Amino acid sequence: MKILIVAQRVDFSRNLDSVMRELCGRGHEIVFLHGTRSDMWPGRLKAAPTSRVSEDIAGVSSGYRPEPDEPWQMRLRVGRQVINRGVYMRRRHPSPERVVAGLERNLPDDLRLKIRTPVWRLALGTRAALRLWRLIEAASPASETLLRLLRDVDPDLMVVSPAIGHEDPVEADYLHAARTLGIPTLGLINSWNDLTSKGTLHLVPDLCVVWNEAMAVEAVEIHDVPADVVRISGAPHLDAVFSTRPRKDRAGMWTSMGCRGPGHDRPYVLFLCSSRAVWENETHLVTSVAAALRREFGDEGPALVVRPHSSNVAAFDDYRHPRVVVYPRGAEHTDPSESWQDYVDQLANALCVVGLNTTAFLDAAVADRPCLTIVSDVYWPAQGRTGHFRHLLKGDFLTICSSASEVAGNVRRVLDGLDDRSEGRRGFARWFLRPCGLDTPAGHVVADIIESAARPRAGVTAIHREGRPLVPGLTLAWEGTTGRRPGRDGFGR
Amino acid sequence: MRLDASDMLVRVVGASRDAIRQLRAIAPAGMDVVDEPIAEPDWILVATASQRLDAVASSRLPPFRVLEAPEIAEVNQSPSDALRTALVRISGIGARRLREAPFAVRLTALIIRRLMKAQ
Repeated sequence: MKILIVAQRVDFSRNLDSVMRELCGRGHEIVFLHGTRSDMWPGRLKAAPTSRVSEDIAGVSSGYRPEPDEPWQMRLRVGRQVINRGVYMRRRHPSPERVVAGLERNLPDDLRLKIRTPVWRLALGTRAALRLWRLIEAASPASETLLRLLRDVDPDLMVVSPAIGHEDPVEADYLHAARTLGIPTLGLINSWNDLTSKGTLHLVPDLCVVWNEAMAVEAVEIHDVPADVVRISGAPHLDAVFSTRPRKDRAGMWTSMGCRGPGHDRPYVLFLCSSRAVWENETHLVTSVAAALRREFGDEGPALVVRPHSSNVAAFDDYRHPRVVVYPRGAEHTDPSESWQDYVDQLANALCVVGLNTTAFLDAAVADRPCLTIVSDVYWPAQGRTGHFRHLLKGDFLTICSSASEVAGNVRRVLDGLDDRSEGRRGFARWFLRPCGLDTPAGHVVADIIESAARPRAGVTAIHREGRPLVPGLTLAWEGTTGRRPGRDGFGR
Repeated sequence: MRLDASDMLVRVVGASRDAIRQLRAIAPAGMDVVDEPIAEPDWILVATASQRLDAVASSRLPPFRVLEAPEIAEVNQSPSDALRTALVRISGIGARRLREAPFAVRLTALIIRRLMKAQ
């Protein structure tokens, strides 16, 4: 069968790598269209783009995703931004202050002022507003540009990834055009923060695939996605972390980081930076942790290695500290797929990891490294006010410290062999990252779901199994705000 | 949120009489198993790939709601595990819910056309 994948950006092909490989391995053809023009791509990642998607996996062809430019579709896009903002006005939204500035930035001035008035806030914060908007989307004429494209490609199923767009959202245009032509649609939620810090689903696809139960509840309760279309798959982009084995020992890793000679085989603490959206510049925190480690251990203690976030490398470009190694620096942040092994080696050889609120904690949980974070009045806005940080807290695998000194104290405990969160890490991986089974790659589950949802063609039968539907009885309140912990299997049972 | 199987219509295509009788016997409460054409089934259970092809085309149900279960063509003494599994899966996912009411869509489309003309 032929599957069309419509992605926001070309680098989202990495999130879908295991899905695409599995589908192509089963003999299917994939057309991958993305919204990144070559002139939009940052210079440092020029090696990554479009060509790799099709060159790496036989059976995949790729290209630029057209955007509908009809006048009505342009109007709809403005309306979608308003609805995106409205979702955050709901009373029980887990992160109502999150990304608000970013969402409002894209609105015309008069509209921005209008939606701040009490009447608009009240109206937009209701479920009726989203229901009405979906009605408008469904009743609107489909984009002729997209209808032509879909007729040309003629896929058996279209995947929109991620199904939630907050910057210039055109996902609903694709969903509507596919629906008009009777092409089954599948919306994929790419990441663990998509449902609490991006926009919303302006049209509901035939199936909506999320990582786990917690995100399924967010889809149902925050975005009014009917439970019968939600499927749970696990996290496809972490399949690579699960499957990549470290190749270097600690001394080898120090060499890769450019440090040779005496003293460069000692343990190191890995500081995993957060994205710019969470914390603009973490250099002060890094300096504090380095000083605390020195106070705790003197000159012979563990080193501090900093891994800047790939979307925010500039913050550490000019950072120099005698007790801190920054690796990789901006220029060394090459194509992520090529440096993947390096990342896994860096994680695996770390004594423990420290960070504020980063997706890298998920990788560290898979790599089974102790994870430390600092929660204080200073950093809480970047943590507690985000919907996704509560998943980490619920996972119960983070060691919460109140200061850099407490981090250093906990590093000593780890160095002494005390690791009381290891079961928490395994539980988190079972509950949050691979709920269909620790040995079941999420990419395979997504491929199964795609096969079950695709338009059948003569001579082809390809239903294997499906991702789990949402477990009845879970609520958003239970998921984060009551303080109850998950049960032994991670689902409260 | 509707997660039970109440008032769910499952249309069966290509099943033997015995199979339909057995399907009705093992169907969860609230699930109606019918073998005649009906306007809006929630699920369709078919025996062959070609029946699935026809059913998806004619019903306009999302393809995942049209399941192929070769067992229904010939059921012997007791229903197979696969058949039980299919029904459990059907009841677990639930009835189809229309995303938008057709009348409301038509009415809104009328208004949108007027707005577009006025642009």
